[in-house]
Amino acid sequence: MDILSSLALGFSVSLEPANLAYCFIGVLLGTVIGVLPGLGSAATIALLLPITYRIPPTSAVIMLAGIWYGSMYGGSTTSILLRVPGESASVMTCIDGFEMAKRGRAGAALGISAFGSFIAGTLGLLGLIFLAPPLAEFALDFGPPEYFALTLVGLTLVSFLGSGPWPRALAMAALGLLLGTVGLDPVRSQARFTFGTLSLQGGIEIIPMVMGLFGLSQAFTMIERRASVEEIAAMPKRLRELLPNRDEWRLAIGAILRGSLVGFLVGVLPGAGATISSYVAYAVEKRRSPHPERFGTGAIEGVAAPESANNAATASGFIPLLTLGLPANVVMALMLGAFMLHGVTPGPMLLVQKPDMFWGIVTSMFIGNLMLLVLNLPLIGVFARVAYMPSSYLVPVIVLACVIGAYGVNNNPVDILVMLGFGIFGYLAEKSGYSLAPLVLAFVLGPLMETSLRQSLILSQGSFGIFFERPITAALFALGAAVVIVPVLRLVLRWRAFGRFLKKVKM
Amino acid sequence: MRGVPHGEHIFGAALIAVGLFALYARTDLPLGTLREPGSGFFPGAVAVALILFAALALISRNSQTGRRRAEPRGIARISILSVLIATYASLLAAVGFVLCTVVLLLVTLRGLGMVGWLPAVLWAAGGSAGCYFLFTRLGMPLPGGLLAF
Repeated sequence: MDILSSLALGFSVSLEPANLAYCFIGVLLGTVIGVLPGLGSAATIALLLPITYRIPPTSAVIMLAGIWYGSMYGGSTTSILLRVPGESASVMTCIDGFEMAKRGRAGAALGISAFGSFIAGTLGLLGLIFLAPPLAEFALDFGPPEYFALTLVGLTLVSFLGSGPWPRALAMAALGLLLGTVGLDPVRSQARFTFGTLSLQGGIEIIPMVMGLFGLSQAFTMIERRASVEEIAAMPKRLRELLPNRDEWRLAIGAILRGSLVGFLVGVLPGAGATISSYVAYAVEKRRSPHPERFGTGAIEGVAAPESANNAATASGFIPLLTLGLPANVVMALMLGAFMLHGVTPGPMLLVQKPDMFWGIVTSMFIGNLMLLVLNLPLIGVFARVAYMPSSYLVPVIVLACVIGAYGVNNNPVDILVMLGFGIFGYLAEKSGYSLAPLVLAFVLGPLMETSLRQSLILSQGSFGIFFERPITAALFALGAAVVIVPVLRLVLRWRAFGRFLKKVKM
Repeated sequence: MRGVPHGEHIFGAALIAVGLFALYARTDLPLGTLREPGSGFFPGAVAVALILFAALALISRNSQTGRRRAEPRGIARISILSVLIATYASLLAAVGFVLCTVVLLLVTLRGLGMVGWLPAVLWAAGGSAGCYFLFTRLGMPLPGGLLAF
């Protein structure tokens, strides 16, 4: 099927009234939660996962995807107007966006942010459309060794490129893999870590787990420091000239295009995602500017580049999921969870077996981006006011969504206790500086990783050489080693210095 | 190790304990051979990895110096909410969704959120009744409990 007929098929799905409605709900919710500091897109998607049980899989993913890229739009609004990033990916936008707002150019900053997000989102989708089919076709030849290498290297990259120290991230990934082994062995169907209970034989349910880890733990954080949302600075009263002027466009257009490219490339990498892409795009723009001193004082490129990058990254983040079945970040892991809830396995076969679903999801993002542009420009003032919603009302909403969502999985109150357990664990982990993203990614990838490892060893008669003889696995391990080697060497050198220090002390 | 917050040590040590427990609980699962790995092969390897990385995290330098410690009042509020949710789960089937949710929302709004009595009561009653109506219409069988007749 050529690209044009694929797009026609996709639009025939995404333009169905129900899918349009789910897309609208998704982008609207995404914008609102993007505006709200504290409640991230991962938490919202986790809270909404149970609802997707009751709607068709394509509509569910269309809505969840809308939440994700919608949150990128929403995050910029409060960053510019209030210097409060609603999303971590909008932190860089605060720097120059708020300075522009102080100088009376809030409208131009918001306008360039919305237009830049739209252009970058569209370019990112074009990249997705042209890259995904050949990559999926290539992945059809993948066997168990390739999948094992992909999952192992993916988890390693997530741990090393993500936030926080890598030993902690790897420890959390290992814990996620361990939790993924609870239940029946995927190869021999032997019960593992079930302790004689029947309810654990199906494994740990992903919904109570992610609702606890991301939803309830967020509520705990909010009630712990109750004042944070009310501490927001006053919103400027007038928003003049939403359209940037010609000079501002001239300065911003290059930054938008470069930010889109950076965001697209970084967004594909496991663990990198929208946040890191916005940092890289800002740094690139500042480095290549003839007047880097303007950055931090209200340079429009400092708004255009990170905002474009985080939107392009949301589109390219779908490439590994839709073509290989591998989530590149925690939001994609939740998206994989949504697919799995409906018995759909994303990966190379998705494009072959369910082209309507694949292309429906992709084209819905075009529509969603357009909706966001139309929605955001006139309603910026309304969305900015959402940031004032006090946590006293937000916390009960999150708690109620968590208990109903967890209960609704099996209509069993025990799932509420499971959710509570993960909520406490998630809160303590975040408080101790342990990131939750590697844990969730490892949990969803664990069964695939184990099955492919065991199948590979059976194929090779117990030889690990199978992972190094095949070109794709060898290339993947080389990539993983390249990322790992510098931080590991740094740690070894630090220990050697510590050893020398101890020797000196003994003398 | 100076300057590392105490909670990080406890969390790292807890991860090691989980790894050790998994190794112990795995002993009744067959390891198999490399030619044909058994059910205990992967969990065993992962448990060892967990212990190693958690130990590495414990002894490597802390880079989270800016992390804010929880205040005693904050911990008290979290504990109250946790107990409240646990009680909610225990009583849900017997007492029913609406009554349990009214109490849950009322305590969260009034007790933890310091919302005034009138809005708290209105939100709690309206929220629980509205959710019951909405979700039962969507096909989710929420327990009626004491209010079921």
